[in-house]
Amino acid sequence: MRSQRLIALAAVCVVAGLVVFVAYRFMAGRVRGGAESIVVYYTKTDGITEVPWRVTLGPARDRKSVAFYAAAQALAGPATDVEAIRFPAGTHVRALEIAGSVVDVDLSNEVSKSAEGGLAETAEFKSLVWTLTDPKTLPGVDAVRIRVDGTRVATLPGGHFELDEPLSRTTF
Amino acid sequence: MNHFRARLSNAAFAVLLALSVFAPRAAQAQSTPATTFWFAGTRLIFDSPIALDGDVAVSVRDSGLQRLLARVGASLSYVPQQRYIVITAADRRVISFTIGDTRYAVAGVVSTAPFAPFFDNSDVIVPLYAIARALYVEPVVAGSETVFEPQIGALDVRPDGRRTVLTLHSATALKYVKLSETPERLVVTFTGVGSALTPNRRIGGGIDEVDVSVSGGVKNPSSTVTIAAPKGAAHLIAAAVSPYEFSVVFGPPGVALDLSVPDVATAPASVPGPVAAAPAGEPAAAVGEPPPQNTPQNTPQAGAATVTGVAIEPQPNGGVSVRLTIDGSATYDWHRLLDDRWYLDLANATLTQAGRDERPNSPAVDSVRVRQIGTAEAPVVRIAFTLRGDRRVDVTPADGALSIAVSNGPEVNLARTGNGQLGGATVAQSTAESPAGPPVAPIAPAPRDTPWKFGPPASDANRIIVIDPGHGGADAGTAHNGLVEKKLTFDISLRLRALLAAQGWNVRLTRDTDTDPVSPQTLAAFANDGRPNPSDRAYLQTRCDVANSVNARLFISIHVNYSDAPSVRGTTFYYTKPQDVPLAQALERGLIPLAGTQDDGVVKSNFYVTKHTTMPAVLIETGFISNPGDVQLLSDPNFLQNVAAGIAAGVKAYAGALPALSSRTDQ
Repeated sequence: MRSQRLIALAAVCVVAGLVVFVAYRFMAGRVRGGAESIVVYYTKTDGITEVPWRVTLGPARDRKSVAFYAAAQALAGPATDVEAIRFPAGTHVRALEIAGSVVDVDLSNEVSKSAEGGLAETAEFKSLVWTLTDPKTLPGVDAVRIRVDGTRVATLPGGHFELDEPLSRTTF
Repeated sequence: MNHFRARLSNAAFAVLLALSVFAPRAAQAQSTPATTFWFAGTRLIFDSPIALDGDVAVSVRDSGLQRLLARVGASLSYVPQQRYIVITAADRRVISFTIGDTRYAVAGVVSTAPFAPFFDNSDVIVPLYAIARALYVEPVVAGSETVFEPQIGALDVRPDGRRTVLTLHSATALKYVKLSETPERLVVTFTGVGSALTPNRRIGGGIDEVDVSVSGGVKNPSSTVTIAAPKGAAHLIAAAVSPYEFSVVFGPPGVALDLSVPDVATAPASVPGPVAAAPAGEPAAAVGEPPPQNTPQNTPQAGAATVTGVAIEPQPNGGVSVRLTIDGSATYDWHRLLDDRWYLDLANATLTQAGRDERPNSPAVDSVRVRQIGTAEAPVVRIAFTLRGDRRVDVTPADGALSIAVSNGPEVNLARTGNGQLGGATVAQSTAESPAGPPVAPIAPAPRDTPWKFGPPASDANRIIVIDPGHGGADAGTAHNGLVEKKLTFDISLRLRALLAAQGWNVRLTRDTDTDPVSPQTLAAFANDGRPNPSDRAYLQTRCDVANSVNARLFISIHVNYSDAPSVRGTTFYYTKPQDVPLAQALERGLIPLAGTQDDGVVKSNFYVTKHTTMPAVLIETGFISNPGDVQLLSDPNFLQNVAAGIAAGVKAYAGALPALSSRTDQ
């Protein structure tokens, strides 16, 4: 009788563990419990005006997934018939980490292949920084550190925009 | 027995749960598809394709998938430890998959894949066919082969004033041959692409009908598109935004079909509105600027609004406030013009009372106007001020209200434009110095040469000015339309040197030949400082040190700008430090009238040379090497001379007349 109880107890524990595990996996995507969409920004062709637009989120809501998703949307920019300053075609997120209030974004080297002027560089990074520092998307994040192909760079070749230190909204 | 049943049901539940979590892995036990893959005449070889649930499972790192993406101009991003896989198509549509979820989104529209992306050790497996279809590539099984057929995947019809713009989107570059053409009808054939579009569709509006027919085999398809417009219409094939698109503009007689020319019908002031048009000279913000698409991915953030109350009140500090009472939600843009006028447009908003035109007794505000402008379909409420000089304006959105306060003090927000929303949606001011942004140190119009951080003491007797001709040597800067940035910056700098020397300045250039100067000492010092790219920083720091080492009074860096968008033009004055602002403003006032370029304003940025110089420093992007009008100007020596003269005039206005030269010093 005692052994049957032990077996039953063990079975209950296993089931409970599985339930917790499944619940954790399910809830992992909803830790923010938050919005179905996020705000992404693009920069108008005047080089300074940020325009917000809403982008629907998938089911994953953990901070890293949301940060990656937001960064990828900012790099893609709006539809092609919208006049905007865009990152060079093909620029994508290679890696992304969140450390405290700073998002570390590793961009593919397409970002530095186009020898652009100061307006484009300023506008491109402004849209990315505004997107990732939107307080409703990533609460607590206020700066973005840029890497290119895994390496920290001092500047980009075109406009000599400095990327050595984390960028925040006050950079612009 | 009951215990046994309970244990059995518990065990079964556990097994079901385990299966639900790990089921995707079990699905890997599928076969390799017995087919060869082709795309546009080239065989595609995938590393380890697995036939699965009517699709093919491949790794995100599969070389065949990477080649397919490259052929259609798409890029894939996946970052370990997170759950999205994001593919950006050539036309900037974002296709997002989520690990563990069969649903995926294409530009915000949700579809369902045969299986959900899943982990395979450190790899992630995705449905190949679903990805292909999202990129307008249809996998067609033909015997033992699977051909990925690039297709015309979407047709957009967009009204643009009285014009109608029709755009075809394809997986690959669209090369067309005209089969027949009349003003109202165009027939073109695209080779190498099939079509996913409905063969025949009636459009309405500016275009009657579009018919698409596909001929040829799966490996060599061609699509013929017939576009018919109402009688009397004309058309123009527009310059392609990307090779993957084909656009035609249709319009009634007398309408400019060139999209670079705004259709007058799109300008709110030119359309008879319910009330008077905009104050003269105040441009409509939306002219020539198509709004974001109204798609699920790109949803407008505000609906219609009604302005039910307008209160214009004097403030104790001598300023004036305007408070709008608003029902509903709306977006707004505000703009500061160069002649002390300021206005805000509340989009999609209706004024329920008569317009206002008041002249408050205020030292800050000369007049206030509230108007209904725009069209019946797109009404706009405009609030415009004529200010008495450089006055601070704060915009504060709130639930059911919008307040605009003009204070009798100088403006600290250097932005010329901004926007936001009200009515419960996210408020997003467009500028870093906006009220909705994080706290920003006020940028006061500081006294001349205010020291910043470790800057040298200010002295009006200091007459050293450093001119930095951007780029040089192996670093040519941007080069387009037969012009090279390093040559233009050097030309302007030499002209400026002569003009400033005539004013009595001791002028030093960071380079006086076609070189990219670098100090060996700086290179050595930076080599081991543990910070990235010591070489890049050393080159730019050398330019800064030319000024820092002699405590120069001013630093001006000359550049030429570039943008992918040919329509972008003008001159921009970039600063980083607060102390740079008055100099930037003075240069703006000096240069723009003489050069005649579009004034793109004083803009904060993060350029190395303005950041790491210790004195007031400005980087001037004199014009766009990518804009036909600016290229014409930059090719003209008279323009380069005018730019130099404008900068010299700005320096003179900023620094005033220099004291007489002492015999003991040149400073």
